[in-house]
Amino acid sequence: MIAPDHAPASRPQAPQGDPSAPLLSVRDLHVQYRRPGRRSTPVDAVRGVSLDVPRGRSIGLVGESGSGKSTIGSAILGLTPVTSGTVTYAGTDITHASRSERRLHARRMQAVFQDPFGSMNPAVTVGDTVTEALRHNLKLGKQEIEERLLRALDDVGMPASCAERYPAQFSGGQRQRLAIARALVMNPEFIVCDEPTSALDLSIQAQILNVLLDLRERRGLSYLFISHDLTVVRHLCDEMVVLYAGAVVERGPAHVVAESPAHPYTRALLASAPVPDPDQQRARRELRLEAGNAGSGAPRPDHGCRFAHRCPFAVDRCATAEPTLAPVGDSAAACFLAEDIRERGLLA
Amino acid sequence: MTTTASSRGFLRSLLSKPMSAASLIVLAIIVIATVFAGVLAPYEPDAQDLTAALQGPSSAHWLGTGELGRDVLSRMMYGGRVTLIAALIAGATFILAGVPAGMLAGYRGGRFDQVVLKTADLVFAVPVMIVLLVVLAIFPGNEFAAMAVFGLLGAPGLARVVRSATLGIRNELYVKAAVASGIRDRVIVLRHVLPRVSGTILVQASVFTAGAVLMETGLGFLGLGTQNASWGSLVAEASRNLGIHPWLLIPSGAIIITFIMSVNLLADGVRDTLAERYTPPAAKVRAPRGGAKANAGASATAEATPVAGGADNAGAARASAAADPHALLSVRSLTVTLPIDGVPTDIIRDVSFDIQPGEAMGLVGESGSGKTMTALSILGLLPAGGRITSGSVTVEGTDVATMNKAALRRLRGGRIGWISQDPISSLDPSFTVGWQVAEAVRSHRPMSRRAAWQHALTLLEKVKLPDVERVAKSYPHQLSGGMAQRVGIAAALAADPVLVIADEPTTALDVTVQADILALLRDLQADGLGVLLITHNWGVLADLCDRAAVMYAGQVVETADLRALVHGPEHPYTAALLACDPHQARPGAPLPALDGAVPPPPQWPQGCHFQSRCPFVKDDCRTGAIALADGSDSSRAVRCHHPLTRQEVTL
Repeated sequence: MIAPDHAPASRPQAPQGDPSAPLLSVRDLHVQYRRPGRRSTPVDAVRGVSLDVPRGRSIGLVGESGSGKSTIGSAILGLTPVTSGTVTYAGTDITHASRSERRLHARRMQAVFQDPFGSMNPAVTVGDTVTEALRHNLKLGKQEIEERLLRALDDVGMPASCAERYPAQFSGGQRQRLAIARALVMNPEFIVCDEPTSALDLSIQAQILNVLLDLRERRGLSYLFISHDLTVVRHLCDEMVVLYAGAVVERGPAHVVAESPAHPYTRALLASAPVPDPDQQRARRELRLEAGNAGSGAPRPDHGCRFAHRCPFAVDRCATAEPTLAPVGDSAAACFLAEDIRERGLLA
Repeated sequence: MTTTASSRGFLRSLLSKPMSAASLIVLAIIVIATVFAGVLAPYEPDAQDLTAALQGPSSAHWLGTGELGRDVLSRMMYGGRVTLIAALIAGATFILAGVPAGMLAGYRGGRFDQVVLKTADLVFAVPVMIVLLVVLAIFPGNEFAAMAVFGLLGAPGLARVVRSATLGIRNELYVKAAVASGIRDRVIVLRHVLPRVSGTILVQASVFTAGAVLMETGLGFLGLGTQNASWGSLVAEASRNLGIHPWLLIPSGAIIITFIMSVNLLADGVRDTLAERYTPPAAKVRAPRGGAKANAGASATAEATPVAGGADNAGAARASAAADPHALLSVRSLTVTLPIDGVPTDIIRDVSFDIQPGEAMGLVGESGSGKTMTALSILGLLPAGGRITSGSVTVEGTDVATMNKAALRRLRGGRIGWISQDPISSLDPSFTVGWQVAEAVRSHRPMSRRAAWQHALTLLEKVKLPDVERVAKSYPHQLSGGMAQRVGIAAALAADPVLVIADEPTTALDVTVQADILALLRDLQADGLGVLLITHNWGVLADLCDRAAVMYAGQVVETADLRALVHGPEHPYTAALLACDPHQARPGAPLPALDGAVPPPPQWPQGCHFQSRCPFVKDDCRTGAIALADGSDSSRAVRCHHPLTRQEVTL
């Protein structure tokens, strides 16, 4: 691959097609935004995030709005310029890949976005939208396009007849299935799912999650699943990465993180997510009271632990030094008190 | 294949507009007369008849004659060639220079964008007429060169318009999605961007082309244009003879006005027809998820005239039950009708529930189940044409149907407050939040601005906002979603209501913020406020409510004490909706998903509305209306012939 000339020379390059290497590897990713206006200070949207998506695994990226989770997805897809760090896909550095290089990668790496209403051109038939990349990127023949379209529609549980219709004729859930079909026609091995179920009803969310689970099984797909919903990530993903203020605060096997969090932020997220059982929910509420109130309104500190101002366990040290990710049992957390937090456990 | 089909549809819908069809015909006549002037015109353009100079219309010269006795009609037909070609040259230069520059600037951004913007600023400062005079001095009498330059000078204006239209479309998710699937910029621009901006381009180009016709006329008038017959030289000729033969101005003036008007009207029609392709065809009954829902009450709604009526609706088994006079809100057998595609259709059918003082009740169900419509009908804020056809809504013992407009206004925002889903867009961005809360206070209680401001501060304190003085002076965009929702709640509390209706108040918020907002609502409820919470989230329901009504396709299918409802749902829909929640599921295992979707009101089946998705459906579910009947305990009512038992649920 041609490396762009402004890229650093000493870039770790895994050998091409090494089956043991992770499919996607992000190293020390930094993304800065500049607010409109001439002298504005840049905003650090992502601050040194590293993560791997091994072949056939699903990695969940969790955090609140502003945590940088969607920015990471965009940076991987090349929709947002990377300030520093590397994104390696199947051994190839794609951090600063040109559009024509991206075009080759699009055959293996696809995306499904949050808003099923905005992600399709309303004036183009659904079949046209789904097969657009086949015609304009892969330049396949008519017959193969037709075959791939039918297979993808079948995979997401939509009838073949829907190809002739326009997006306005479908419900949100149906459109999200079509958006998944659009990704599938390329026969990808990896899909970035950016909050694909957050705009949907619970019942439709369940349908879409089932489609994604089924496709992982049948097509051996890997997902990077971006969501604010820990429950959904826990259900779908093998591993969970929790982001706060642009940095990873905790990572580990999904069930470990969801059941015994080691970072106070993860704990606060879990305690805040309400559960359907009123009795359990009451218990959680008390846990949350004990875990401290999040909405103190104080501005986020720009040194030390970024969560310190919201953290009920914060000690003096948290205000001066920023903790780094350190192993805690099976997972890793960026907290000086990780062991203590884990031992406290979660109620309910 | 699809393109021919859609372009045929385009032409048909364009011609269905009378104005567009008429202007198309007029333009066709003008173009044919001009192009075929050699065949159609009665005289040569320069044929002279000195005996009949400056005559009015006659049988030999339909539009009269000009200087040297030349036939006006023939000169107009031949002259149209010069004028129209000149205008076409100007229009083509305008589009060819302006569109690519604008689209590239908008799509690529960066340095090219800067160059285009600065060039545009520069060109705007150039006096067009003087440049044209210079061009004509270099190429004497060459109107086509002047028109090309005129097009170039206009192009930066078009580039700016196209640029901003493109900027908006570039941020559309479907353009992002196309980029992510590795499609070339060229294809994206041609397929996704150009069609969307083509309406704008057309309007701009037609206005400009019409302007070019005027410019050509002006040059002709000044004697700087061509010496041959053209619409411009006709006007010049008329002006020379205005004193002795004013008639001459009428044909040339009329043709120019007709042409310009037709071009503009046609362009409007084309733009509207193009725009129709980007809006969903049918008027949707339910608003899409998101901000639109919040505004449903404010915009596009008409005062519904609630009619308590004796329409003997099937399934109104509990209709006889009288409204509870002690309840804050008592809804009895409420049925609401709305015209859908012109057909009056029930969108809410036989909904009953009560809310007691200090009680929090939840309305839960999928989108399209009628939750928001129920709430809107309580406030008399149904969409245009919607009305209550039977049943009643009673607020603190008074039937809403008997209220006049003033009383209804006191009800809305007075006795009942409304908290919307999208806090930021429900606030006006051009006023401070304190001012907006103060206005809400003043609209229900006359008081001075100063007192209202003080009261607004008290309200902002009540919703636990920090540093209220500062927050009150902020504009909505300066607040986080959670703070904006607190402001929204403060505004809902402005008139000291007894009940608030909260329509998905936390859907747009992060979980930690959601928990704070729910805690606030719980505190307010503890102080005696009644809450009607509309949600699709069981967790939110469990956090706030004591009781819930499950809605499906316009009906309440089950209502019970929340604990009983969650632990032992009796309606198959309640059970299915609970099972969809991934909380209960084993990670990685398929969720017991409810297939299909809620049927829209025109497709509600006979019998049970849930029959098409129900795993337990039997023959008797398909006929006759099913009443909301008492369930296994006193607090419960179920609309099902075969309610589930505990064992079935755990299965």
